Amino acid sequence: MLAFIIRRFLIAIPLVIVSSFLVFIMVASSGTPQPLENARLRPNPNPAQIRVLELRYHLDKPLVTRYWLWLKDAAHGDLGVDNNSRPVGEQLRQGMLVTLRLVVVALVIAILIALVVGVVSALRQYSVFDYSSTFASFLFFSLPVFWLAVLLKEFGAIRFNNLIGHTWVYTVGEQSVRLPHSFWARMGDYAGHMVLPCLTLVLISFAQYSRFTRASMLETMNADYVRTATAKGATRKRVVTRHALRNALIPVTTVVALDFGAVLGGAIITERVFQWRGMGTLLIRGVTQYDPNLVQGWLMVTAVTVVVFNLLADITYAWLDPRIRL
Amino acid sequence: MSNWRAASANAEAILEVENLTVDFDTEDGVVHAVRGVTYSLMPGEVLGIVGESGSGKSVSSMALMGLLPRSARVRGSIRYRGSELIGIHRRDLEAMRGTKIAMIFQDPMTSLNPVHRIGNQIAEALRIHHDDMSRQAARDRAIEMLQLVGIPNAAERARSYPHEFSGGMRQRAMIAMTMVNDPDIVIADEPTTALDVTVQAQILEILQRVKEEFNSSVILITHDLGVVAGMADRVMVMYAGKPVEFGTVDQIYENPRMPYTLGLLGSLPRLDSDGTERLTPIRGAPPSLIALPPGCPFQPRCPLAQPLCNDVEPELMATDDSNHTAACHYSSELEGDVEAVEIFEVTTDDSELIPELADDL
Amino acid sequence: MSQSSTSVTTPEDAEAVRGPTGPGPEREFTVAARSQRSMVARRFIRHRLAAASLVVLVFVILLSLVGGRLWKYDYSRTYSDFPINGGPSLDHPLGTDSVGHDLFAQVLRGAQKSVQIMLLVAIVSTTIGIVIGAVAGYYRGFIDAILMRLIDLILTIPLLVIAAVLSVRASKSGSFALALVLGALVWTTLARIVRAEVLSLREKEFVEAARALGASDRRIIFKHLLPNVTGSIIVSSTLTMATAILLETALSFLGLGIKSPETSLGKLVSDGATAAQTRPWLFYGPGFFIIVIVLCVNFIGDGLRDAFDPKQTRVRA
Repeated sequence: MLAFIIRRFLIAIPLVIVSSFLVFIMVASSGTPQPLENARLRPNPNPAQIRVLELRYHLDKPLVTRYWLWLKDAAHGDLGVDNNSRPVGEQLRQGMLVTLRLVVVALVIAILIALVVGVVSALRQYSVFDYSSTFASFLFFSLPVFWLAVLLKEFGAIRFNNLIGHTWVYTVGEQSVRLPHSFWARMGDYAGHMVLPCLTLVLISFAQYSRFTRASMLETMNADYVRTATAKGATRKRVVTRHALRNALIPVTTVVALDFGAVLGGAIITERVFQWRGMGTLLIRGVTQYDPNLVQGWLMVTAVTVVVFNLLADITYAWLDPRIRL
Repeated sequence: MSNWRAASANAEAILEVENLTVDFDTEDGVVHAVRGVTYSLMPGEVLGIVGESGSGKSVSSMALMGLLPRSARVRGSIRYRGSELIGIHRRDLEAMRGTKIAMIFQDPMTSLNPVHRIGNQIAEALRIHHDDMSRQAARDRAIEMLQLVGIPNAAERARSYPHEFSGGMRQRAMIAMTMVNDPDIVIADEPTTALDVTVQAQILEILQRVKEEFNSSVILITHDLGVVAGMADRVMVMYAGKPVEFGTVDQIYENPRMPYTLGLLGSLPRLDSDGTERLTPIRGAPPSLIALPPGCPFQPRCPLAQPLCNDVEPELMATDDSNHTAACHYSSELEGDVEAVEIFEVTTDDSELIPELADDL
Repeated sequence: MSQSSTSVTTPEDAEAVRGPTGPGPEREFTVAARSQRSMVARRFIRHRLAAASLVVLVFVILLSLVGGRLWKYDYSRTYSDFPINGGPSLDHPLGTDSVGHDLFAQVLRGAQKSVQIMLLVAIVSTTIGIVIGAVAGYYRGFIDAILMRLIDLILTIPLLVIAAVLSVRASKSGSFALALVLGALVWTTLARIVRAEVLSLREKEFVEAARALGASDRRIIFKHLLPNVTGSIIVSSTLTMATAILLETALSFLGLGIKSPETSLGKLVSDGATAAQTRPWLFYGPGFFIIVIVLCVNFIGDGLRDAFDPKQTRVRA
């Protein structure tokens, strides 16, 4: 098992490095950095200033050299500065804290709900519960993320707050500007700000996972070894929990892992709607303002996160399924 | 109904199946998978059930253990030591499975749970039925069983997963798991079909050994006549959901009285033939079990078919020995030592056979 | 039990079919054989929700393609006698926006654009996905490893993000370029599915037989393997279409998708998002359209999946 983990880890490293190179090419070719562009487009362009900017972005050097320069610094943890000369690394760190908070909580909740709904749907196939949860899944699955977010903002917050008489659910930001002092009040503040964005992500994700769990569970229940367990005289409860469930979870792990990118994408949008200062804001700024260092750093941090997450998923997979621990 | 029942001593029979019928509802209509199976099983007896795919042999056995899906409608009577099994409460069914009647399945790779260790799966069979048994005791017993079925280093191997075993070893483990609760009746559903020929003999030998050790009765289901010949006491040949011939293994092999049985025997290559004997394949295919016309289901493929065969479906009738029954109106024509070659005109050289059969398709 | 009680044929039928005594010609015992295509179609239609969705979707697509021309108002013109920010009325079923455009006309136009993008993305991504998946699955070994690593690379960054980075450039060139970019990104799932199926199918005997008869690799892939994978391909591309629309919508929301004066459903919804409270029709109108399209596509995809899958767990009572 340990060997398995180490091996997956060793594969991940070159993957990240190669992808950093491809990403670099992509970023470099997506446009000119904004300050430079601005300088060039001025009514009376100042050649000296333009030259300075070009040097600053190493545009006099070939692509590979530029990549190498970036890589060297990145290996030491220095991701450079953005167009406004602020350190990229620090901004990303702050952004990550905010975004991960949202994503991790949402994923955990979504997976738990999906497992319960999926398994129950499979066991009570064609029941009212099954049909209604299937329909609900399809519905949430088909909603654009931000549309749902705005909807929740309208109904979840404004009307809810009106209903209960005071503002608990917030729609702006990830925490209040002035945090209350007591621990519990502070927790309440975080929670109140997190409810709606989290709910948005949960609703979209759980739909997909529960469909999959249901399908996987149905297939497992039809497997030969489930028949064997029944033939041994096991009660239905035992057959479901000890034999079917664990096998059914195996493909679900794959789906969750593959879907992580989509969850991150959804988080970006949700952050934008609820105005959280997380990775989403940074990305939009970096992309619309052609900030190569910021975007490069952003993409690499995300890539590493995705790879780490996939590694965790692989480990879970191997823990569930002894066949792949070879 | 069948005359042979009067001859056997019912009081001793450990299992009595009477007119078992199984229907399935499908989009294309009702499938009559089993259309009236009747037999008795004696303690310590090996009953071979032979037939091709679709003959109903597996379905009828799964009905014994209540393993059919909910879409199946089971009618008739199945009596274990006198008590009726059809329609019993689920809890009684669960208590009975594995302890009174147990089943060995065809494909050991898919029949064992891939995420649990072999030893645990065997031990589980014990602990399901004996609450008071400790984990350690169950584990020890599981190791004992693995040794019994001939798995070397049993204590170590018990900690393996199914995918780490070879096909033959998996089937041995399967047998161990089935026998661990000392069932009275063991149903072996095509136990060797998924295995290599060399391993088949080993498995059959183990099956024989555990049968003697635990003094169980065995229902051996297979399409392989060779397998049955070595182990069975009595043989029931099934076709299109019904038994078409029933007798001791000697009677069936030496003196088949139903053309289908004769054809089956004739289509087997034999080691003791002198090489000049020809194989006689049975042309055609088994009928659909949805829209069965009246009359004998074997009629379209039968060389002895007469107009009567179209109208009236033959019942199992006694031949010269009341213990040997055949469902054929003209079974008497097969009296004596009739070779398949004589009845089935389709005898041909291998090279001519293929284009001939191709014409049929 | 002398007579089989399940007999369907009458004595007259049996008479007509009976051959000469002896092993006669095979009687038609079996149920009528059907071609695979009609079986799939039958199963699909039985899935009422999917069939209904197909009808709705076709209607919406037709509406989007010709509706703009048939509708009395043009989407880009503002008419001096239009109310500004007017709510839904008989004249303007979806109201008007802040400049005076008729929203219904805009929605029709936006739907047309979104549908175009959706179909284009489907075509591009399906083509890429099939080729890569088939090549990886058929040749295995080194080529397979490279292609799979390529997919892994693409997947290390969230789809939305790559799309965001690339589309800043692309959207300047118009919606066609945008669709191409999206198509070049969403093929990964399909490729994996095709690869998995080709991997298992290539071991089957008919492939060996074809090879023994001298068929070239290309012929084997296209004439023998891929036709057996069509089911999964169709299902997967349907779901890709849904992803494409949602992706385009998300990009528009971030300000990176379709730009004015062109419009798409995504752009309309994102433009209307700020007014959700005060002028809800600007937000819910186009949004409703998107949801209907995506929902229908998803239902159809699910129905297709059931129709192609021979494993029927449902048994009719």
